[in-house]
Amino acid sequence: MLQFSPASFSDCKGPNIVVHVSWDAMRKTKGPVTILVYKPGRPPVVWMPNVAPAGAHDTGEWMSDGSTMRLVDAKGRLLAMRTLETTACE
Amino acid sequence: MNSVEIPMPEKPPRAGRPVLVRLITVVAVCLLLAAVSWIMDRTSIKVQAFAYAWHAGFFLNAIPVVLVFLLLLSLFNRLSLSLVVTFALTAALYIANYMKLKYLDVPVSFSDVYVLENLHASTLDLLANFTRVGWLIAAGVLIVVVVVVSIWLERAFFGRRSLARVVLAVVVLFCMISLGTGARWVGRVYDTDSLRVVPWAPMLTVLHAGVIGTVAFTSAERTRVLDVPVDAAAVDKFIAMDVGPAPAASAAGGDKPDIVMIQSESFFDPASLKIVDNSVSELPNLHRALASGIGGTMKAPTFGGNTLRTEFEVLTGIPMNSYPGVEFPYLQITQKTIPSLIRLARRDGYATVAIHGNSGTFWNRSKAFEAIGFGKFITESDFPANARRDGWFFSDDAMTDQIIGQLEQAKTPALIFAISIEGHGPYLHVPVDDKARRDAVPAPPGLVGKPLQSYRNYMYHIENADRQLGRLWDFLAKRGRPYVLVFYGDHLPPLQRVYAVTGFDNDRTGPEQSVPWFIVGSDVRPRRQHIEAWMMGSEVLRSAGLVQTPYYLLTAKAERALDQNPADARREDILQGVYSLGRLRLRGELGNELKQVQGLQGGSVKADMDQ
Repeated sequence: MLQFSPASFSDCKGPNIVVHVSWDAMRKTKGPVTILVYKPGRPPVVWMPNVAPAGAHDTGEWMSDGSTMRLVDAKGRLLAMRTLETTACE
Repeated sequence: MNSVEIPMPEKPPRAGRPVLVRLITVVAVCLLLAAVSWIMDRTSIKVQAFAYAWHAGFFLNAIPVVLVFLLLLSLFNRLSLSLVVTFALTAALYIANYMKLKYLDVPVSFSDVYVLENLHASTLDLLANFTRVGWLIAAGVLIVVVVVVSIWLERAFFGRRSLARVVLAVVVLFCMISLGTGARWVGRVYDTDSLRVVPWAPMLTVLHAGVIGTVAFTSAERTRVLDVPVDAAAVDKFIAMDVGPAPAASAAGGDKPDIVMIQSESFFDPASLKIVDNSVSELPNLHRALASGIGGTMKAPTFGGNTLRTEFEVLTGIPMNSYPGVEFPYLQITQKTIPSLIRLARRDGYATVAIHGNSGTFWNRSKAFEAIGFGKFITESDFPANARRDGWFFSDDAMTDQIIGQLEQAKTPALIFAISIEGHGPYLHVPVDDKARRDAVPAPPGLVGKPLQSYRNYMYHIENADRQLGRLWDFLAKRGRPYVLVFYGDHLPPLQRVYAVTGFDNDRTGPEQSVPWFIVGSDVRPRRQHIEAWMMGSEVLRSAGLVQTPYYLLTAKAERALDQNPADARREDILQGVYSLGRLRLRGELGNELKQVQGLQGGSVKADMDQ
């Protein structure tokens, strides 16, 4: 499980926001997990390396429309993925 | 009693089933197609499987897929077969999208249709290097088997002489032709707001609208890509801007120099990578030229491929940003005459020759070069049968032989524009003539396995390019005729495996990097300069001591202005002025603006219309 709060935001709030990220991979692994982040079409970079399989953390103000996080186990296997969406600014 | 044979009844066609059942079946299949194509779309751009599902983009992205299915259903009259073929075609599109993002950093777009329209053996040969041909053949065979088996075993969906089938085919064809031709009603359906198009961020448009939805939107927009307005106020503002005096041009007098321009395929300085300290021993002639001539870094309007964008900017002086909707200039700008540096040289008495060791039809170059004003275009069919190849194509050695041959034959000053191809990717499995030399390329720290293999193959070929550059330069210097030698890379190579391991020294992304460029010659004084590709023309004219027309004086002015590191607002003023001037130049409408430039210093000005 990988969740964003908020899961989406209005474009009116600007291109970037802070997102509260929570994850729980206990049902799939007991070992450390890594969270990668990237924008669509860009290569992934490591955000949270070798962290506990369950936890939560706030990002900086750099999450934007389409920012995607991948939760992987120690062997690089994908456990969960989440993409941040926006709603059009009216 | 005689037995009577009772003939078995034939299997009734589906026409016997209620219409409602068939309709529900088709609707269910269409919804399935919409969902699966969206999952493929999300997978190809590596986002969450149902990101932006159930928004307008989800449905609009599905429409072309559904249309293909319905067309096949009306043609084949077999439901499963139509579904399987539609899936296969959709999957092929998304695999192509994935590969294009991987190697070129851009998604599949409507402009790729132009590549398909210009599909020649040389194009297929090039594209085959990025795919596994065996898999493609296997997939093709599988599809043929499925088609044959299905037609034989599956029941017909429509009855004989079904009016519904005919009506369906007609309606679907109408919709597909409308989508393909960008009919106005398509533009109203695939509009900017409902698709949430983000013009400056193509990937965000794809995120909202899907790849297919974006292509459909672009189809409707493409007739408008050249219809970009000129901002007259921006032009006036830029022309009136004071940026200081222009440097003096090289003295015009004596024999006109021969001009040789080398556009070197995928040539960049690997020392810009973090893991490479310097490239002096690998590329000695590049560094020798940068030390003795004008040169530095050049921002190319493309990354990893699409050479013709850089080529167009260099030859015409028109920024690609003058037309943000144009992706393939030689395919989308098809007017009979295109103003260019080449036309100026020709008017000054130069023989103008283009040389490229590939088919002249690739990227529509033959037609484009005619419009640009080349007097002769030497292509692969003109290379001798025994011309040396190294890698996938003709070597830089063979290209240099052609350049030297043309110079030796010339009876007038010559401008030769040579486009190399030896350094073309992909690099993982590219062949090399001298494996020992390739294997001796030092491994940068941290580079192993496939990234190292790609790096070594790439370095092998650009070391060849540098060696041939040295050979040509020595020939020109010893020849006893004045000369100007221009060299630049067209874009960074598609070395994603290497970039993923190391970053760049300046911590910017691949598309933000620059390529090296330089000009050396009989009368060229050393100067370090960063330029954009569209500024190259004025640098060449100045170095050769040729007449600087008003348009090129203006691009030179823009170069000086941007070199002063202006604040963002002023920088934007400069660029918007240049972009609008570029549009006027392409349309041949520069008259009034040129009159304002008559007083510019730094070169003689021709008062005629710039062509």
